[in-house]
Amino acid sequence: MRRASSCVFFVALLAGCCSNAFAQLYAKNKVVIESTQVLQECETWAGSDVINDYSQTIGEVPISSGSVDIKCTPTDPVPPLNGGYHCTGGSSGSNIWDADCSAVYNKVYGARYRLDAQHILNFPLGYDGTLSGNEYEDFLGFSNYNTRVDTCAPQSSTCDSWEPPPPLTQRYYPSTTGWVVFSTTTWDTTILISPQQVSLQQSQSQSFTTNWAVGSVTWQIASGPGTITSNGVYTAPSSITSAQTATIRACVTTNSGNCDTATVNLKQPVPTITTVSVDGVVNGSLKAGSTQTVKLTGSNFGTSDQIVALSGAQYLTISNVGQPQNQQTISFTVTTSGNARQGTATFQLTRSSDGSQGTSPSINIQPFYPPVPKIMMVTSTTQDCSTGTQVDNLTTQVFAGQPVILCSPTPVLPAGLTVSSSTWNPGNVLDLSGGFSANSGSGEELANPSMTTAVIGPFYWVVPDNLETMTYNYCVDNGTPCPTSYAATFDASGPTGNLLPTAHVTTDATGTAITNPQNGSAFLQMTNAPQPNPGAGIWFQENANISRGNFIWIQKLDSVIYNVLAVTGNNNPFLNANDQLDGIYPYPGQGANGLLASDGPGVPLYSFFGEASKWFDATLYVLWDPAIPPTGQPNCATAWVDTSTTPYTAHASTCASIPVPLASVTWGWSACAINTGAGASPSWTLNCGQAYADPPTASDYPQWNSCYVSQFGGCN
Amino acid sequence: MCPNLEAATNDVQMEMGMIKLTKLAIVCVMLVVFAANNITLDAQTKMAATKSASLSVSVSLQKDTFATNEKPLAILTLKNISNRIVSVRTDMVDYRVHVERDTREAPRTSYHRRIRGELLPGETGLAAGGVVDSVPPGGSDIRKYDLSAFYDLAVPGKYALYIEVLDESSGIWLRTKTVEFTMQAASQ
Repeated sequence: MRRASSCVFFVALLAGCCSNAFAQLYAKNKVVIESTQVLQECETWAGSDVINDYSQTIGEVPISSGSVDIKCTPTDPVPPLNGGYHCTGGSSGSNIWDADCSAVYNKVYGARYRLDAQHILNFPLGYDGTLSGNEYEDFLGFSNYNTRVDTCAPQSSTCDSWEPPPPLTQRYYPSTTGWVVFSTTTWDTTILISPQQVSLQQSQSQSFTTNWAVGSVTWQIASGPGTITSNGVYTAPSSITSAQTATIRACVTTNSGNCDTATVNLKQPVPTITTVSVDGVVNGSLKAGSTQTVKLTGSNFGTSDQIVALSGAQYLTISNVGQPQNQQTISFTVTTSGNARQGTATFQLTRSSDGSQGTSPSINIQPFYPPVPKIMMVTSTTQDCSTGTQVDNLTTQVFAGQPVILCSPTPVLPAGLTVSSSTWNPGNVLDLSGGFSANSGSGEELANPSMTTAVIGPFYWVVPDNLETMTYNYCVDNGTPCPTSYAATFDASGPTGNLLPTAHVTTDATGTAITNPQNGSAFLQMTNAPQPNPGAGIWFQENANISRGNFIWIQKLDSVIYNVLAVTGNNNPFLNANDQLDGIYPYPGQGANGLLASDGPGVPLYSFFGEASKWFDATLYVLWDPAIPPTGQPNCATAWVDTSTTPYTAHASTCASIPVPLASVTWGWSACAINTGAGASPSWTLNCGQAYADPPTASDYPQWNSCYVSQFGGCN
Repeated sequence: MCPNLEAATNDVQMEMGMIKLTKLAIVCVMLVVFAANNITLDAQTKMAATKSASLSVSVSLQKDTFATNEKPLAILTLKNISNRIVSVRTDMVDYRVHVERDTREAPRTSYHRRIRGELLPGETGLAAGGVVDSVPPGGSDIRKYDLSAFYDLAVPGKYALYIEVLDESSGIWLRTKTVEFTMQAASQ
């Protein structure tokens, strides 16, 4: 019964209540319908017992399209409406509405009909009436049905009995599932202008619209300058000298009370900067480390405008900003920092009246270009470089082996700018040496001095009679090219002519002899060198021509091997040598400037030896030291050896110069002897002996880290 | 062009410049002789040909008395008394230094023993070689010996010194006169 009652109520909704509900819905369609509203409405409408009985589900409703579909989907099967029931009498119980019943009967027919599946209620655009009978049916599509008109005659005041409905054909039955879809078009009932606020400059236009979709709208200027067309196109005045506001109004033509307004902010034209002058020069450059006057020229400047730098701002300081003249020029002072990099600068003018801004064309920032460095020659690394002798772009006479100290005066740089790197560049780095450290214990050429400091040296040109060059460049930290000095040319004079020595040696067996072969002083030795020094085993003469200094000799023992067959005692009392300095540094030189050297290796033939042999291979180097005294001293002595003492006495050089290598000779001697005597009466005979000297060759510095002690050379 | 060799070599205290001068003089003479090409030198041949000495030898001391912490320096002068160039070795092959105290030889140092081939276990002989000087006729060569390198002279007292020199051209060992010197205890 309850369900029957609900069904009746549903019919009532469709016929009466629902007519009202549609009207309400329609009315609400005149506002923007939010989905929740619609859903709520649907729920409201569906809030009757009837709908609730069908467990109606409310679907989502799109709202952006301007139409709304409300879909109510019963999830429970719709009970067969086999005619339904209708009230036959007045209501006397809680489930009977007398008045409604009467009303329904009076207005609606076919109350038992239900919407079938997919039936759509469509409200036409602009429909503003009230659904009446046929219309309602049309909308419901009832006209397509064979509606049943069942007159409900007035009954008694109590409706306490139900009559079964008349038989229905099958087609009147709805499907077991179905929904109701409302499709409607929405519009607002209150006119609204869009956009509500705009900003325009002179002569600019803005098209306004309203939400009024039906009927015409009247546009007008409510206040302020400008014009507006009947279509709502507003045009700002052609000249705006100060910020203003215009208000436009739109009203529904048929309802002057339904109006809306919008605001137009009329702005001055933005400032325009056309040229930048620096110290009176259009498009001039800002110079690092300078303070200059900059003038901006343009239009629409204001008063007390602000100026800031955009690009290049980190290097620019703006001060003394003046008042714009005729809104067209403004001057100020720009100080460009010394470390400004190559780049551009732009300025931005901000009009104080409205904050509008204009940006200038860019001008160049001219960085500080460091000057071409000078090269100075000084006598010590601590000397003030500026007091040295300028040598760049000149040829300076020096000696090979002479200490050279070069520097470059520190460039005068703007504040904030520093030298980031510096480099010395010798024309041929192989011709340069950091020095030569030599004593009896070790000898080696020293590494080149640092090439990345402002002072280089002391260093030495080591190729005699040769032109050498050196340049210097440095970089500052502002991105400018690193300037390079003019080349300093050095004429490193030294020995001339044939720099190679000549070795004089007797290579056959006549170059070997035994002295005292019949006593304990027997000695197997290399001897009989060519004249005029036959007492030596080999002698050397340097052939180079020199005007000063001395030749320095260094002998390295490549290999010395003794072999002894002893009758008694120690088989081999002698130490072999291998890649060692021969006794002392330097090797003794003889003759003027030490141009001669000699050697006479041998081996004592002790009486207890039965046989003895020696293989001797050495390399003799010849160098030349220009004998440059230290600063402030009149003369000096190059390294030398006092051979009048035994062992020899080495004397280190007192000169500031170093020897430079000229050449080397590899030579050797080997000999063997047999003792045919016995005990204290030896009798030695020479069994073999030969010598050689390779052709001399140009050489680099020798190197050693060990010394071989002999009778003459104590490695001291 | 060539300096007076006699004057240059007689001064045992000569400066290095003087030494160089002497060397220069020697070389000059060498070259002159070489140019003359009238001398043939072969030590063995020469030894066999003549037994007359080519050198005269003498020894002196830097001073008569030395402190025990000083290096007593003996100065050996080799004078070429022949009419030909004489080669003079600068190692110890042709020299024997001899120091006595109270008629007994002083204790030899290791260096001395190694030169002489009188080796103790573990000791090695010292190789010979080095420069060979050429002394022109009438010229002299100076050799200097730190006697403390050859003998232990730590004991104060009187010592006697002589040096033997092998004249390679004749094969004769020449002996200097004996000279005396005193070693004094070093003052504290």
